[in-house]
Amino acid sequence: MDKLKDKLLNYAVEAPDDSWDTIMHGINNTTSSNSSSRKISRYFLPIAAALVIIIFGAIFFINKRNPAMQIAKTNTNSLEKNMATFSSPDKNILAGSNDNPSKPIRENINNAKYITIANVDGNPVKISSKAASLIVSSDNQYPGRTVWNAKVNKWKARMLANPVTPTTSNFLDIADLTEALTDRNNSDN
Amino acid sequence: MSQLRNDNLNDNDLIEGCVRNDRHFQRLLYDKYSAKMHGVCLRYTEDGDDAKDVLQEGFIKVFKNLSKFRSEGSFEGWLRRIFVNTSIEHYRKRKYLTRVTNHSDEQIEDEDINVLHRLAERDILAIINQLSPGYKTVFNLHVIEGYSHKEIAELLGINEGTSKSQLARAKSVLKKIIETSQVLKKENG
Repeated sequence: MDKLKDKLLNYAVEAPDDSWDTIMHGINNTTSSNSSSRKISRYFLPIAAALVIIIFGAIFFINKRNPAMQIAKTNTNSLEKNMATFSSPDKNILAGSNDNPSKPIRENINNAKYITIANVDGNPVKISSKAASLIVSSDNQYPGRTVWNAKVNKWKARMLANPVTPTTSNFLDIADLTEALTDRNNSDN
Repeated sequence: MSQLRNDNLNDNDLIEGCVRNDRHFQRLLYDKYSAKMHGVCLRYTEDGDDAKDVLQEGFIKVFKNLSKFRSEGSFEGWLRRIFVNTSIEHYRKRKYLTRVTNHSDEQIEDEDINVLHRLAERDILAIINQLSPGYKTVFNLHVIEGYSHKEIAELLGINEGTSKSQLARAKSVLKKIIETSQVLKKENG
C-alpha cells in the first residue's frame, strides 16, 4: 500500500486558471465585510448607549414630574393587597349583606348591592356598596385616594364640630341639621 | 496564467509575506502549493468543479488563518489538513457521507489493492472515484493520509467501528473494480 500512498500523496494537478482571481475576490470580500462590520460596531455601540441613556433619562424625568402618579400606583397596589387580606375588626363592619366575613372585602363589595356598616350607636346601617370606597378612604390606614382622604377628613372635622348628631328618624334632628347647615353657610360667606 | 517564481524564498518567508497581506507573497505561496492541494481536493471530491470550489475555499482559509501557523510541524502538512478538512466540510454540507454500521465479513488483503500503484495517478483516481463518497473519504484518510480510525471517527463524527467497516467495504469494492478493470488486466497480462 505504501507505493500507492506515495503515488497519490504527491499527486499534483495544475489548478484551474481562474482560481487565483476567485481566491483574491474571496479574500477581499472577507476583508471588506470584516471592516464594514467593524465600522458598524464602532458606530452602533455609542448610538445604542446614547439611546439607552435617553430612554432611562426620559423615564426618570417623567416619574419625577408626576410623583403623585407613582405614589398613587404604588398605593393602589398596596391597597389592593391590603384589602385582599383585610383582617382588622372593621372587616365585619364592611362585610357584604351576605354576612360572610371570611370572603375578601373587595369580593364582598363587588358582589353585594348593599353593605352593612355600624353607625355611631353600634347599630347596623345598610348603605350602597358604591360608598365602600368612601368608607375605606375615611380610614387613614389606606392612603390610596389622597383626594378623597382629604375630603373625608374635612367632612369628619365638620361633623365633629357640630353640637348634635342628627338622625333621619327624628324630625327635630332634621330641623336642627338644616339650621346648623344654614348657620355654617352664613358663616362661610 | 502568469507564474511568479522566486526560488530563493522558503516557506517561512512566504508565510511572513502572506501574514503581512502582501499579494505578491500570497501569489507565490499559491503557485508553490496549488497543484498539490488541487490533487488533494480531486481525491476527495466528486468532480473537477467541486475540487475547484474546495481549492478556492481552502486557500481563502489558509490566507485568513496563516498567522495561526506555529511552525511546529511541516507547513505542507498544515496546508494539507486544511484542504482535507475543507473537502470533508464540503461533503458534509451536501450530506454525502453515509453512515454504515454493519461490518463486512470479507477480509481484503492490502496487496489486492496495491496493484493500483502500477497505474498512472489519473487512472488510480478514476478507479477510486467510483467509490461512494463515504467509502472514498475513509479510504483516502486512512490509506493515503495515514489517519487512524479514531482520528477519522472524530473528524467525520462517526464511531471507529463505522470507519473500519467503511474502509473494509471500500477495499472490497476496489478489489471488484480491479478484477473487472481491463486496464489492470492488461498491466498484469
